[in-house]
Amino acid sequence: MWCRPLFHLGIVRDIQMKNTSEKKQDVAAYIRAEGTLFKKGALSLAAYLAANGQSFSERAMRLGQLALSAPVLGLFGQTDRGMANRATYVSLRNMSEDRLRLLADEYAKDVLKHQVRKEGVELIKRLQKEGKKVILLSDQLERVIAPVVAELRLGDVEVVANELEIHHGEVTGKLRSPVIGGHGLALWVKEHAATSGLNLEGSYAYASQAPDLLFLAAVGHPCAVNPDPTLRRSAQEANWPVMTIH
Amino acid sequence: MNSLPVRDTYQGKHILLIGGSGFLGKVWLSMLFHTCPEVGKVTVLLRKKGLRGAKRRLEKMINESYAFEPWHKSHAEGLTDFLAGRLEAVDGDLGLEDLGLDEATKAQLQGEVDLVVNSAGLVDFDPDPRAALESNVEGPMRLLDFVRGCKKAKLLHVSTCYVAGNRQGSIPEEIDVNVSPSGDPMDVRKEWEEARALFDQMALDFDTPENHDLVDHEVKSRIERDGLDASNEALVRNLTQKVYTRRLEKVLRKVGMERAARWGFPNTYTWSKFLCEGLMAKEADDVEWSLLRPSIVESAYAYPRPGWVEGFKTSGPLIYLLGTWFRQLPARANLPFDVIPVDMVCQGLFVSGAALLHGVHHPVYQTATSQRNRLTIGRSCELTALGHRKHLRTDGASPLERLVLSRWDSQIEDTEPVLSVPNIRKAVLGFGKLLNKVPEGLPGGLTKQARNLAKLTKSADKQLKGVERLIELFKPFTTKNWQEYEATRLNEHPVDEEVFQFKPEKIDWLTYWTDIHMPGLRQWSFPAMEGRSVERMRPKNKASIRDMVISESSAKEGVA
Repeated sequence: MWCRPLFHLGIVRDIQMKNTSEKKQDVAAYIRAEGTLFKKGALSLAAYLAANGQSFSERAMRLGQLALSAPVLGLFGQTDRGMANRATYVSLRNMSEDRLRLLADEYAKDVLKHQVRKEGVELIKRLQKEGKKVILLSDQLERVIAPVVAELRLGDVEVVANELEIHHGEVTGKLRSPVIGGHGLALWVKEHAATSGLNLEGSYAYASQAPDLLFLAAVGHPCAVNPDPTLRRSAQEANWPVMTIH
Repeated sequence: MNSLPVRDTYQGKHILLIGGSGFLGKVWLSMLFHTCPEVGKVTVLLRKKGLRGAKRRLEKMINESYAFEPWHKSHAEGLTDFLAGRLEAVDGDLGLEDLGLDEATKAQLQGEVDLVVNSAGLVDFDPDPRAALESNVEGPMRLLDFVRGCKKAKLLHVSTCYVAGNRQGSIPEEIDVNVSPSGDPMDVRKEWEEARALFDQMALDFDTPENHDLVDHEVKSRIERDGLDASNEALVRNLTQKVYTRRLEKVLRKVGMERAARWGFPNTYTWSKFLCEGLMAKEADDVEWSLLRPSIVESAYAYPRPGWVEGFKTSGPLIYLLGTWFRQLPARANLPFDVIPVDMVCQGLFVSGAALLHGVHHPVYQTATSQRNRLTIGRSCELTALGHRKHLRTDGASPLERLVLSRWDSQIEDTEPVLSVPNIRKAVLGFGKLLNKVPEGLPGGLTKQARNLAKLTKSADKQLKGVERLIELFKPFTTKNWQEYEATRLNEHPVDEEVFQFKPEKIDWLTYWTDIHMPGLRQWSFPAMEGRSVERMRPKNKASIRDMVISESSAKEGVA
């Protein structure tokens, strides 16, 4: 169903280790980056990109569009994060790929790098130490997430992030499938586990937003991290562990 | 199809390089020894400059230009020995009969040389047309005569894609000798002779008492303005000569541009290059030759080092301009802007030269990007803004540059913007006039301040005039011609050695423009524009070149 190749850090080492440690890797930890590893999410990124368009009028238009989509974000933010993400990135329509690439690098270096939760990094390292394969899921853009994760030296982490569709060197405003953040994420996790030979029942998932309920429920060991009120209530009712990290 | 063994082809060959002191010539010469160390010999023909002869000039080049940095890195103190017997310089001039060579040297070269590479030429867009004809037509014709007298030499001549003039659409790798870009039939020899006669006659006609009076008047006012010594005869004579020449050239430049425009060329440069191509195609069937047409040659992609550039290339002044507060460039965003890194042009020279030496060459090769990896004016403008942003955000000289100018993105305006340079000039001049009308004796030194401000408007106007001229010169590239240069002929010669493979597709424009080209311009080109000195290479061990040795037989032949 979803066939976008995944960005895989430490892939060479992974291939080298595959034969010897395949059994050790059969339990995974699926982590939603926003809330767990990063303090900022897709909205902050989209606002940065929109505010740095080519002309002043373009900047105003894009920021205005983003502001107008705020009600949509409010409405869907708690129900359908995928829809909210789509609405967020529409404001970047017709931005050149060149600008997107340069600004994404800038954002990663100047903003996101300083918005990392130290305890989130420790959590990932601990999970890796325990022999779990870490899959980081982000509704920000892959080209923003990847360099930051690489700089954190997290080792063998599979990064799955959103990607904007590009046509003739310009952003169309659409996200390529799978859109990270939507309800379809639960299904994606199941397929990913099946194709990677991972034991989903024994796997872990970490998220902080209510729309990730289905995603969390897809694994045997869900955990709410810095949860919003809805997720906190649901986690308590389902008797899931709740973590607070900084 | 058999692959072309480029490196093996140059092994043991004797090459005569004309234009070795130019940007392209330097990089090619450097790459030649770097990639084909088994090349037999290279003779570089250089003009004497003042007291400095060809040998001294070549040594200075090798020891100061970053083009030759890879040589120093590879050979260090052994460079002189490596070059001994392989590289030699000879005093010569395409402007003189027999290239200014004495008989013995000429005889030796004509007997030995396998390939003549001519990358010399005058690349100013609107020069004195007499100089354009001299450098771009008459010089190459003298070189052609020299090659005719050679035992085995073939000629590889560097032209330009822009001989296409104002033609629109796809530009093939062909020579059209009988029709000018305006569509009118053209006899290139007749055009050359008529133009030469006209310009010479105009120069003679300019020598009138009225013009001398005007010159004397200007000289007098300049002496007064600059406080020079009017009794210094030599100074007055030099200044008079300078002013006279400048005035004459101004007249001729205009006539040259008008003549070029009538034939459908954007400038005198492309018109003169077209004439040369036409003459070669029509009159040089007794010589084996090939033409290489690069598009806009810009900084190096990788060799001698990423971004290395020399002098003001086409995009340099525009990029510099767009890094100032000037924002709106009148241009058509969708026009191709055909830029090619200098080392990729060199790859073209290697392959076309090897094909020529094997006798499997095409008459014309184009090294261009617009067909295979197109960059448009609009995209290059945005990339320029992004490149300046990247630099200024961290290295801007002041908070204003770091915070505001870095985000002050330039952009393309299809129509003439309200804040166009001519309009700004009008406003500045108007403001200056108003300030000059401020009455005397205003309190608080206001009159003095107004006069000072008026002076500033004058200098601002001078700068704006420069910008206006720049935009005007580049208009053919930025607003007029939609041209896509075919560039497939080179790849009809399969080449196994990667270093010679011409692959414009591999250019990632964002990386090239913002991480290679613009930093290169900042390091090697902008300082010169700002009147600062340009960084020179300072190798630990300076290399020297041995004198050219004339064989006894050549000496005898020369005497005979």
